[in-house]
Amino acid sequence: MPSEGRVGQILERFRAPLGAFRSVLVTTTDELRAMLLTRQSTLGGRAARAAGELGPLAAGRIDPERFAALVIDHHETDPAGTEVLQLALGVLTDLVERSERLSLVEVPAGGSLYEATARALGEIGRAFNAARAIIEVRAGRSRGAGAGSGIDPLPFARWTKSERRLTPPLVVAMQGADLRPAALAEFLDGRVKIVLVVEGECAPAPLARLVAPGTYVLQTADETGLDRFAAWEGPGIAALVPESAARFEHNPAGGAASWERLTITHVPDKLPRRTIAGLSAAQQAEELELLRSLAARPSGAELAGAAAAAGGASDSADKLAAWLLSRVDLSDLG
Amino acid sequence: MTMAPAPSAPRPEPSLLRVDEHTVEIVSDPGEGAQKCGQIFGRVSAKMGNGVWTVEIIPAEIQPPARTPSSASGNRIRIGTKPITNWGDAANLVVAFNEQVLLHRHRLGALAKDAVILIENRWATHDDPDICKAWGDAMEEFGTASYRFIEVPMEEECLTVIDNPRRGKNMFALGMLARIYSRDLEKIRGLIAQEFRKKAPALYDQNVALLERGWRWAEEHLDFRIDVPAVESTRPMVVMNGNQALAIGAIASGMELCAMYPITPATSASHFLSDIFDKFGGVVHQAEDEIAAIGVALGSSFAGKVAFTITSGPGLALKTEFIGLAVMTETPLVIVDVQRGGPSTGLPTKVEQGDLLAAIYGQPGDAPHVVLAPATMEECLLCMTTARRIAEAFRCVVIVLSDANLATGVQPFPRPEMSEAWLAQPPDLAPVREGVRPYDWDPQRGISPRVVPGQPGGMFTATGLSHDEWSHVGYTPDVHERGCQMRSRKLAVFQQMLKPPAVNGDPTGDLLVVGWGSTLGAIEEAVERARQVGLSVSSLHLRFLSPLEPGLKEIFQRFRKVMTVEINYSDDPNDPFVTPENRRRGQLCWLLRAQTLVDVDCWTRVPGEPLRPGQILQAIHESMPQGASR
Amino acid sequence: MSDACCSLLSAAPESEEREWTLSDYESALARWCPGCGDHAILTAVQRLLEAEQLPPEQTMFVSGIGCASRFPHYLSTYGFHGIHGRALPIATGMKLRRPDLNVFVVMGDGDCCSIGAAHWIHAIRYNPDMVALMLDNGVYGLTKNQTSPTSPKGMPSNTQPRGAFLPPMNPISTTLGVTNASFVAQTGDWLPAHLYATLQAAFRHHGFSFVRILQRCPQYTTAIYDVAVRDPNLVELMVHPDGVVVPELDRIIKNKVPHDPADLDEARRLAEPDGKIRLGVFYRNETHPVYEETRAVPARSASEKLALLGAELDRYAV
Repeated sequence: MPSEGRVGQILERFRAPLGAFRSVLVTTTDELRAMLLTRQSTLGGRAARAAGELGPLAAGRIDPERFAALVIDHHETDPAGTEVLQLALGVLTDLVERSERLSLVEVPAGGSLYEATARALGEIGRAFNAARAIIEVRAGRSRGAGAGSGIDPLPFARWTKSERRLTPPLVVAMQGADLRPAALAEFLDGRVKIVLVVEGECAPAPLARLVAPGTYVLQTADETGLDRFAAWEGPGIAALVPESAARFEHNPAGGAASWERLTITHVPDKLPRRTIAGLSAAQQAEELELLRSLAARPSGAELAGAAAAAGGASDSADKLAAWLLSRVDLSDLG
Repeated sequence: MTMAPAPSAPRPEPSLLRVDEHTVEIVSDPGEGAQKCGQIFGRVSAKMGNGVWTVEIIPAEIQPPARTPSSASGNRIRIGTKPITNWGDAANLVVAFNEQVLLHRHRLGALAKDAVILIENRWATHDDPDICKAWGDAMEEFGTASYRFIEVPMEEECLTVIDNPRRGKNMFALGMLARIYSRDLEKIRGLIAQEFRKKAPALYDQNVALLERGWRWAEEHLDFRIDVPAVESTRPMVVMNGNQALAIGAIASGMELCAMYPITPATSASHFLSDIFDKFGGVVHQAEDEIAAIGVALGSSFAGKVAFTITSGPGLALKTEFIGLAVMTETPLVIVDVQRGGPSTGLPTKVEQGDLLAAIYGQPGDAPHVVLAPATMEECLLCMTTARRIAEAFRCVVIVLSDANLATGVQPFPRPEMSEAWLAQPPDLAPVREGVRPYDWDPQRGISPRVVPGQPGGMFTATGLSHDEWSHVGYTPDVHERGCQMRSRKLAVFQQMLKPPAVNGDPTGDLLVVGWGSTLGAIEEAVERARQVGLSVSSLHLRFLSPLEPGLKEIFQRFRKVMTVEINYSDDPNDPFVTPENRRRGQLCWLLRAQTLVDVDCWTRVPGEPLRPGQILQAIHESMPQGASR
Repeated sequence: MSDACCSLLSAAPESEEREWTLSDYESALARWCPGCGDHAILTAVQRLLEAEQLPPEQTMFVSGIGCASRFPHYLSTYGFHGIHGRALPIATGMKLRRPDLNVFVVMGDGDCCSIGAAHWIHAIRYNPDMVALMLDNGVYGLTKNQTSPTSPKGMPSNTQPRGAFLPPMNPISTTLGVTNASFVAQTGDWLPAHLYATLQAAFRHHGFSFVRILQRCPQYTTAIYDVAVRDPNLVELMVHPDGVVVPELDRIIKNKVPHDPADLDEARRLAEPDGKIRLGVFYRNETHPVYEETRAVPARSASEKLALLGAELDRYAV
């Protein structure tokens, strides 16, 4: 596990899901190996396999040929299918080896966060594509490996429901100036978790637009909340932002209303004044305003009891609202 | 009996006794470390290339009163030039920490008539008059035996190194033994270092100092040394007890779950497994009781994850109903029974082969399954792979019968060359083709492919009720008859794959001794000795007890008499009221008689300890058929 | 539910995006007596499976022996109809190594509270993520009318013809008394909306969800619950946003007691018999560790296992 710096520390927090994904790959690889073994066509080959499987105690005591003939089912095999399985074995073995690196994404300065993330997910998807090829062969529908029909990355859009739940978290190292996360919304499904480790100045609330009822959204400066984020069973995105940015936590388990789910713990001292990551100061302020409105507790006596429970959230929303009002300088937005 | 204080002046040239084998015992009160001493002595002997077999001497209680015969705790270590396959007859040399524990061994007849006994010297002149008297009484009881006693100031010597001699005498004793048998001190230091690797370094230094002090004392005071020549093995060897072997074997077979409930003498296998199983992706589940343990294993196995349960006789009894369920639902399952003395709580720490018939026939209704028994520590390791594979291939239960002798005995054996093929294959969760039934019995073989939860299209409800191929409950005569037939037929198919067992010795003769399980070494040694004195005796050792290995009748017919030797109860034919008609026989004997219609005899004992080859030899002498060639 | 243990090859892409309908969960015609409460429970369970879109091949119903235990035969998921009292260990073994499966356990009162009592207590403590339904009709029905641990005192049966000698045990109090109790609820077969809502809450709960379903046996114990069926005033609903909310019942059952399922002391008090039949969620606590998660270990490939075994054998090398 690459343990240098912050990215390493973050990966460490996701040890369990990373291990779980690796387990899935390992189990799949073993299953595939077993499948390749059963594709022995000759009785001699099957007898040798039987002898190996029964172990040395059976040597001289159990007749492996009879065992193979009477017990081991003989599958008719197609060489083209076997070739596909071999190819898939190569791909899966390789993915097992670099399973943890699959979760590491680096966005080069000036690069596209969306593209880097899509590429990383596609690479994870290569495992799913390998599995699909194997399933086709198993069902007797293989079309053969053929020239150039390798096992390609599988774009996220084509992942199934369960694949979207199996995927390991991604940890993305990037510059604040490249932080345009809105397009990542299309990846936030199943159990996909994306953690952005942001270096350098960024917009104050870049993740605000990603808040959706079932999505965990976290902006934190010191990893506070990451454990809860990691434990959430659904999709989520987190950003480790500089001290200057807002800090908030949108926990879908918090309740039915957005203000019950959203807790704002820090708001920047200064209003955005210049364009960052292609977002104008007005757009940035808009994001802060969105956050405020989501966290705002509705007025009304009937909610008084419930609101008391979520006191922290509403307090900070009020604070943010007051702050925004005090700072807004419309002339600046022109 | 000769009683000599150790000669005080150093002997320049001690006599050297060269022997093919020698049996050593070290006995103490519990907590004095005799077992540790014995284990290290056994291991270093194995490392030097000697054949070794060690047996634990275990008191029934954890802390019995000290200095009583019932408190005897320690080890017997039999070493030889050739491989040693059993614990032998009597000890030739004993290190005893007090006369009471020695008395226990004496009363059991465990000591050779001319045994050399190195005994702590402080009791004869102890301040407590009761102790002096006990010493005197014991010496009187030893009176008739011709042991050679050598009094050793063990505590006195140890006090020069440590404050509490009870915590160090064992290393002093190890030093004496190392000198007597010329053991490699460097190797012993290595083993001590391994033993104390988790403790303070000072502890290691102290133990080595005691070891060296024992060596020096023996060098200065003893007038004899013993040489058991060793031949270093060309193959890499490992040394472990049968329960450790079972645990490693379970991992090597690809088991992913061991569900168990604590029971002696099976539990130490789970201790060992608990320590390392996680690393291999496995889990030891300690269930709330024996029944739940097999239930959890069965559930896991039904769901496609290979599992086993490990127990001893009383636990096997509790698992009975679940065994029937596994048979009825054709769920593969491996059950290990490390047998102990029975019935009921019986002899929890002692050896017996009393569960054979319960293992085969203990379930109400017809519940055909496989029973096999490893005969050595090595086979304890290897049998798990075989058992697991058979269970899967035939969708059946496999019961593995080990026993307390294998479980706690230690023996070196060639390091197994484990392979990936031993590991269980993961379940295939491919969709089930339309029309495939959960019990698609091949009418000839009774075998059907398994369907595992998770396989689309294969949904069915397994049931312990009588059922048809669809697993639909059916009470009609044909459904039940057919189900029974299919479950039974699998065993016939399996039996057809077995090869006839090999006879040890001549294929024809006067007497054939048949055994199973841990008695292999003792039986073969007795047969060997019988043949040396001209008796026409061979032996046969079975690994598969249900179904029985093929060709037995043909083999038996080549001998004038066939007799089983077993560690379970049978009536002595000379006992009052016992007639050939009502005689209750040894358990394998019953099986063989029923299977072959040969008038198989038996000689069985239930001493709570392994059989001694000398005992078996005597039984052979007494059992030779009339008119046998001599 | 965790998917972590499974292989990628266990996913069936064609059934993956499929929509399941009620008929995908139906199987043989249930052969319980006409009027038996089990019919309503089966219907509610089938509705739940459909609502939660549980793939039948990923769903496992485990049962013991008794009328209730015929349950799996009437569903087209995977099923295991085991032996009397032992459904829970079997289910625990399945969930332990196959956490990807949705596991349901169906037991009767004899199954759970009598012959399988040890497993019941310990399953609560292990806290595997599964739903355990105890169909409580207060009698051994399949074997024709013997006293069960929940038979009311004085109820005559074939084994205690002059009336049950002992007061019945209280399965709710018992469950609430066990370490790690995670979800404890009670509902009745004659209130389908409440039954369904309770099953749904139980299924969505992460941990061991114990649901006692008061179930009418038209053959032997109609009397136990019939009074409550006829007189809704004998029933009291425990209500709370974290419990089960069943607006349909508002007009039928007037007795309501607000009860926060986080309050264990109050739950224990409400479980005590006081003439009212209380339905709803007594207790719910998702903080207890779930057994299959506590015991989860990463899988090892064949070659890794061999390398580790080699290292292990080195420790025993001569």
